[in-house]
Parts: sequence; structure tokens; C-alpha cells
Amino acid sequence: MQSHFKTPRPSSVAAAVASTLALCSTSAFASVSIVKGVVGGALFTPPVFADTAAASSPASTVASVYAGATVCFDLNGNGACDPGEPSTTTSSTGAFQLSSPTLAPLVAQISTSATNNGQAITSRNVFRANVAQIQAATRSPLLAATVNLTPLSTEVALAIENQGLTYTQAVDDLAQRIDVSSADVLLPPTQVTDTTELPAILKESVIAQGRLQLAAKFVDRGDTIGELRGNFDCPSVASFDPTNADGCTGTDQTPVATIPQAEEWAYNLEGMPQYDYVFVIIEENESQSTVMNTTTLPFMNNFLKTGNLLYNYFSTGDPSEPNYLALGGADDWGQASDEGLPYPAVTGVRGNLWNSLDAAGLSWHVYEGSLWPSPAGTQANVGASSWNAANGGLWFDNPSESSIVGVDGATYGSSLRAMKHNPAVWYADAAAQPDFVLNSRSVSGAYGTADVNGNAIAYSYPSNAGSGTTAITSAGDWDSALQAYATKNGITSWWTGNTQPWTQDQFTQDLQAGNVANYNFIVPDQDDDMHNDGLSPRSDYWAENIIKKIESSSIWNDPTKRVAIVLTFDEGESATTSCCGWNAQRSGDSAAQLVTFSANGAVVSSVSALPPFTEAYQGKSGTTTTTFTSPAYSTGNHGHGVTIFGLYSNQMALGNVPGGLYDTDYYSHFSFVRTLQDIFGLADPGLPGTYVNRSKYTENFINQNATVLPEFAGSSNPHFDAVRAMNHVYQFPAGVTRVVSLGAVTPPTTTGPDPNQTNLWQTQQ
Amino acid sequence: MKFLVNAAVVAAALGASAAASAGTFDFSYSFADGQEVTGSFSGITTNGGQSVTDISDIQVALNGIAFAPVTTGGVTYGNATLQANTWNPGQVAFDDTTPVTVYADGALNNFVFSDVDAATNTSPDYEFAYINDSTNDIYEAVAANFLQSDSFSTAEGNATQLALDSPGVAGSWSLTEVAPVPVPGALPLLVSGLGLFGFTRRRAA
Repeated sequence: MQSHFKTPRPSSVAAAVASTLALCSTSAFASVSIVKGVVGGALFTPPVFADTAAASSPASTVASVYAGATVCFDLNGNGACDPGEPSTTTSSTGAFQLSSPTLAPLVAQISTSATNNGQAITSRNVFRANVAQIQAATRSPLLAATVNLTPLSTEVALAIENQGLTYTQAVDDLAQRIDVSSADVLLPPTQVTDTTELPAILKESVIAQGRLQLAAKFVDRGDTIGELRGNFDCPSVASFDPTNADGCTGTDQTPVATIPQAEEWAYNLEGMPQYDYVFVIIEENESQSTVMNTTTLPFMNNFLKTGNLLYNYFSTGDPSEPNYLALGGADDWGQASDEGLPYPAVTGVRGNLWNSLDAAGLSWHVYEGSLWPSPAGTQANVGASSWNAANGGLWFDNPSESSIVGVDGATYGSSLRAMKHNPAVWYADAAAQPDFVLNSRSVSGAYGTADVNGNAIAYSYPSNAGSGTTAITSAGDWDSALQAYATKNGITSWWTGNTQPWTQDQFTQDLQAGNVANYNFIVPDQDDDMHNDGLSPRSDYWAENIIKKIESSSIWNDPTKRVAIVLTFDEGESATTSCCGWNAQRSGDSAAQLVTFSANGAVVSSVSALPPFTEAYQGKSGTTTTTFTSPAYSTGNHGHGVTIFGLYSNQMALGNVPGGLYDTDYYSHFSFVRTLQDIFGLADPGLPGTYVNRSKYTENFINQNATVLPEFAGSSNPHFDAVRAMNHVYQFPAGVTRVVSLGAVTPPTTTGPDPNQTNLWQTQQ
Repeated sequence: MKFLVNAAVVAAALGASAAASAGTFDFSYSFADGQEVTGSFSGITTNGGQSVTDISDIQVALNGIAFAPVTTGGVTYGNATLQANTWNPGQVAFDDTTPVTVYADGALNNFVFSDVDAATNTSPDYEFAYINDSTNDIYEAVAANFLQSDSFSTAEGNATQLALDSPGVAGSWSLTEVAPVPVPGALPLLVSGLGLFGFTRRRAA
């Protein structure tokens, strides 16, 4: 018989036995914990932006592990690995094992000495796991629990801490929100084998890693609560704005103390909560006074009353294009006309919303109505510039085509789809990105079409009421004609680079497939957006059609997803005032000069006291010196008055937050761009230079750079002229009366604070 | 020093005494990362020499550091006496009703040695668990000495004493009988067995 037992190895048993003392002892611990796992996430390679497609490249993401990270039991709950806390270092595979005599949250401290898939880490990060995650993974405290530390485990911890959810609820909610299984959502991405789930987990990991890096910066810099919640009087601009400043006092002056606290603010940058999807429907050329309470627009009016309303939302200028440029990149670049400039208008790799979204691993679509069916090589390229032809023919207004006849008998003309109404196409580096064509999509608001579930849409305006010379049933009337034209001519695909099958309504298909982008900018054609037909109900029909499709979608009806719909107009009417990024009293200047900027976007020096347009330095770090030519702001764009901004969310529809609120603070397209950067986590409130273009011009920033921002010199109302996020933080001092623009509806509150200072974008109470 | 299998041969030769051979046993488990648990206990061989029951006098060390009480700040932590508990797959927990059996084949082991009754106390000061639970798909070897963790006693300068193999590796397990001793209950059988052995030998001679 072969022995089952081996020769004993030399051991120190004897010594150990000898050292064992029969002492009276006490139980040292309440609950021990043994854990093992992986510190994992995503390695995101950002896009390369350039003005040419050849020099551009898209972003890429792969599953990754963090080697050399410090993992510890966070005994004091401050989100840091302090001396005395049980800790270890992750291996080259990101693996760790650790024990603690006391059950406590886990922290992975990823410093710049760690690596992400072997790549250097430029900004430190912290991942966490709540105690509940350890407990859920524990079969017996005496055995090792598998607890992976990932960006998503940190989001679960935050949900438990800040939303009061149980661990199971937090996991299920996160899994549902990003459309993966609860079993897989907390796996390190390197262990996710489901190929349909991995992209969603990677995307959320990239988003979360960006937010969590911000949180670490908040702590490292000692940012104050006031700065993080978007009180633009913090640290203090009282000396600059003694009239309107309500100061930075109390807790606003307190630096954020811990990583968990900072993370909460990183998901509420300047008080703006994270949204998963934002839809913007843009209308044309009407002011509050003409739209609100107008009987031909019952749906829009109901939308504005049911949702939340901004009473002092200013456009950028007149005509259309400056406003769309502003909505795309928080500047009008001196443009004072429609398409009166060579395409593309904005070159030189300038900051814009589209690139910022791409650079953060988020997605965007611009949906346009009545898009010309124009695969490369067809009639669509006739007359286009050589640049346009080389890029598939997207970059021009649709041609006239007499063979396409709408239901009202008109022929398809060039005044329908307008490039001037596309907020992305003018940014050369955005248009040069490989995914740009794929992001440019069609939308139909054709009257009588069904919602995403095939149910008929019941319109608010009576179908038999009629209105002037425009048939009310003609909303989206070109869609069926364009479809027929495409069918007749065998058009089955979009432009070069867009592999989607040709359809006049990619929007509905995207809603049905859950394939809409994080940010969706929806542009009706000029018959459906009030541009050609004014206050015709066809615009009301079109908007109702689109919004009810959104409201019938699965993403809208999923309470774990945060979805917002914005109804706004490019510009108002008649008034020539603007705010929030402009000093409307200031004439323009134009010159070339040398300007030096600091790492945080502040102007260090300039040759002469001329407007230093900082947009060329978006996202730069360190000191940058270059020469630029400032555009001529004297040629126009001093505003076109107050326009309309209505906001409705699925959280309102679900009853989680109230609607029917209003905000009378001053905002503009620039403010909206800043707000979107906060909502999507695209910028760092502590570094003004990370906000694109004029969206960085907060009251505080202007104050700090007042000597080299002469365009703001002489401002009679610095608060009015400065940009801020739409967070409703600012409270008008008692006795201070609002600026009221021509074309505006007088808000319920005109003096002093609003009766309810709630953030209109809130997603939870 | 004798291997338990030799005792089994003897016991078999002695007839009824084969099921009740007591002894002292050394064990060790080498973790994949090079750490090692060593120790000893007393017990009685069973199952034809394949296993040991009636475990007592347990001594364990992890990386040469004994599972032993530590006094700090005038307070002594840890129990000097180690206990054994069986892993119960049905309960997915350690229990204190199922007799502990330690197997020569590591892949059969389901026990923990610690300074507490692991069925009722989930906060040991030190432990060595070796689990092979096909029902719940738990295969682990765990050794931990919480009294040597850096959070407990930084003055000692020890890193956390923790070793994990998941799954445990049977080939890294060694169990050796070092000193077989008669147990009181087995003595009559042993005497009768020896008598029978002597009678047989005499007849053979």
C-alpha cells in the first residue's frame, strides 16, 4: 500500500507550540473579513481631434486591470488608505488578497505610480466597495469573499450611501440602468464574457472613472463645498459684484473632506445631476410672448407648464447660425449671418460639445428632419464643394428636387434642411471625426405616425381645426415623399461612413432599439420648426410626435434611467439684449495678439488689452502661449432677447420630482452648454479652462481675469453678463429687480429670490 | 516517526484495533504564493488510515508565526486553545455537531482550526480553513492571523498574515503521523489483539 502521507516538512511547529501561552484572553474583533479580488476598469484612449479626417482618430476602450494600486480596508471611512489600515498592493494582474480584523469598506487607491494595463496613470483615482458588497460576497467570514474594486462598485457604494438603497437594490438599479445583468455588473471588465454586456460595462466604467478622478482632485485641491455645488460667489466675488453677490459663507467655505463626499459632488457637478439621456428639440424664431398661451400650440404650452420653465433664457444673436454655433460650442465665433462663411466655420481644434462628449466616452447624435437621401455618388454631391464630395455630401443644404412633391403640393426645395441649423457640422474637428457621419441621423415627425410601440399618437391640437394657409396635417409632410424618392431611386444606404440602412426616421428606430445617444439634438426641417410657417400647429404636431415617441420608449419608462427633454428656440424676437457670456454694451474688437494662459485657463498675460478668446486653449494644461485673431464682435451677435427653455424629465413623469417649477435667473445658450458639461461630467469646476469657450466665463472667472477681459469692462450688471450652470443656486437679493427683455413674458417673480430655489434639473429629492 | 499507513497495517494485523489507532500528526499546507501553514494535532486514525478524527491539541503556525495570544496595551487577545469545526455544505457554514475529520487526501478536507467555535463565532483571532465543497462550489485554503495584521499591532511591524488558495491545492497538503499512541478505549482491544498475535506467532513457530 502506498502511503497517503508525505514526509513532514521542517516546520516551526515546535517553536510555535512553545510560544503558545495559556493566557486569559479576550475576543479582539467584532467581525473579521477576508477578501480577494481584482482592481479593474477600462483603459480609454481618447480620440485624436484634427481638422482633417486623415489626422483624426476615434476613441477606443478595452477592459483593463490596475497594477500597483493600494487596496485597504478603510477603517475610518474616509476613502483613503491611511497608516494602520490593513493594506496590500495589487499584482501585475490587478489581483489582491487582504484580511482585516474588522469589517470595513474597501478602497483601491490608484496613484500615479500604479498602471492601467501597463499604461501610466496621469491623474489618481479611487475605487471603493461598500461593506454591504463584502457581506453579500461572504459565504463565511472565515473564508475569502470575492470583492472586485471597479468604477461600478464605487457607483454602487455611492447609491447605497446617498440614495439610501440596499446593496441589492443598488446593484439591480445600476445593472438595469446600463442594460446588463446584475450578476455581471460588478465583475471586473476583464472577466466579462458576455459580448453584449461588455461594451455597456466598459462605457459606464469610462464615465465613472472620469467622475471619480474629479473627486480625487476635489479632495487634493481642497475645493470648497460652495465651489462644487455651483455657488458662483465662491470662493468670493463680492468685491466684483457687491450688488448681487450673496456671498460664500458657512458650509460653502468648507473644503470637501473625504473621497466619498467628493464623489457625491463629482456626480453633481455644480449641483447638476447626471443624466443618461438628454433630448433637445430646437424650434425657430419665436419669443415667449408669442408662444406662451398661443392656442395653435397646445402641446408645447402644456409641455412648458407641466415641466419646468426658465423665464430668462437668452439667445446668442441673430440670425440662426450664431445660436446653433453657441449651442454646439458656447461661442458664435463672430458669425453674424447664416452660412455666410466658408465651411467649416470653426477650425483649429476648438473646444466644442461634440468633441467633449467623444473625449469622455459618451455619445451624441444630431437628428435632422427631411434629410436628403444622399448616398455618395448620387445627385446629392452635385454642386457640392470638393471637400463635401470627398466626405459624402452631408455638408450642404438639401438641393431642390421637383420630382419630390409634398402632401400640400409643394416641391422639395432648398429651404427645408438647413446646414445653419446643425450645431455640430460647423466644427471642423468634430466633423472630421470618423464617427461624425454615423452620428448625423434622420428624424421624422410626420403627422399620424405611431409611437415607438405602434400606438397612435393622440394630438393635442384638433386635427380638424385648420390653420391659415398651411395644412395642419402636413407636419413632416416631406418624409413620405422622400421615402418614395429613395425607393424609386434604389437608395438603401446613407452617406459614406454611415452603414445604417436608409430610412427617413432613424430616430424612431434608435428609440426602439435603445440606441439613442447620451446627447440627442433634434432639428425639425424649416417647415416644422416655425421658421417657414410661424406659429402653425404643424410645429406643435411635430414636437408632440417626437416627444410622445420619447415618452413611449423603454428608456423613458425605466425609472433607473435619467432622461430629460428640452424644448427650446434658437432665438427670440425683436430684442437685442443677451446675457451670460456677453457684455451686450460692449463693441467688438479684432486683432492678433499673444496671450499666455495658466493651467487652469486663467489669462496670465496678453500683449494688449483686447478680448483674449480663450477657446483656443480649451483643455490645455500648463502655460500656453500662442497668437490668435479675435473675431469681430462689433458686427452683431449682441443677443436677440429672451427665448424659451422648457424642461421635462422622466423623473417628473414618474413622480419622483415635481414639475411646474420655474427659475428666473439669467441663462443663455452658453449656460446650457456649461450645464450639459456638468450633466455629462465633461469638465472640472475647479479648472475654468476645461469648460469650452465662453461657457467658462463665470462671474468668478471674469473677476479673476477682469484686467484682460475688456469686453466685460464697464458691465453694469456682472451677474447678468456672466455664465453659470442652470442650477438655481443664485438667489437674487431682496429688492433687486430682474432684467426684462423685450419679447419676454413677465415671470411670476421679478424682485428678490424665487419662492422656490429648487434646481429644475433635479432627479431626486 | 511512523506514517499512519504503517499503523494501519499493524492495526489490520491486530484485527479489531485497526479502527482506533491514536497518534499525533503533523500537517502542512504550502500556498501557491510560497506561504506555508504548519501544525500538529492529536487524533485517531479512521477509514483504514485515510483520515483522522477526534482532533485535539491543535497547534498551527502561519509562516512560522504561531497562532497564539498577543498582549498589547495590557490586554491579551486570542485564545491559546485552538478548536476544530467542520464545514457543513448544507448549511453553508461551519457547525459544531459534525465530528471533524481530517483527511490525508487534501481534496476531501472540510475543516477549520481556529481559536473560536466557528459555528457560533465568526471572529477568530487566527484560523486555518481548508474547504472542498462541491455542493456550493467552494474550494479554498485560507490561513489568517488577525493578531498579526498591521491594523492590530503596527508595533510588531508585521504585514497582515494571510494566505489564500482558491481553490485549495490538494497536492500542497501533507499529513503525517509522528507519534502513534494507544488510546484508553483501544487498550483492551490492543491487548487482545496482541494476545492473538502472540498466539498465532507461537502456533506458527
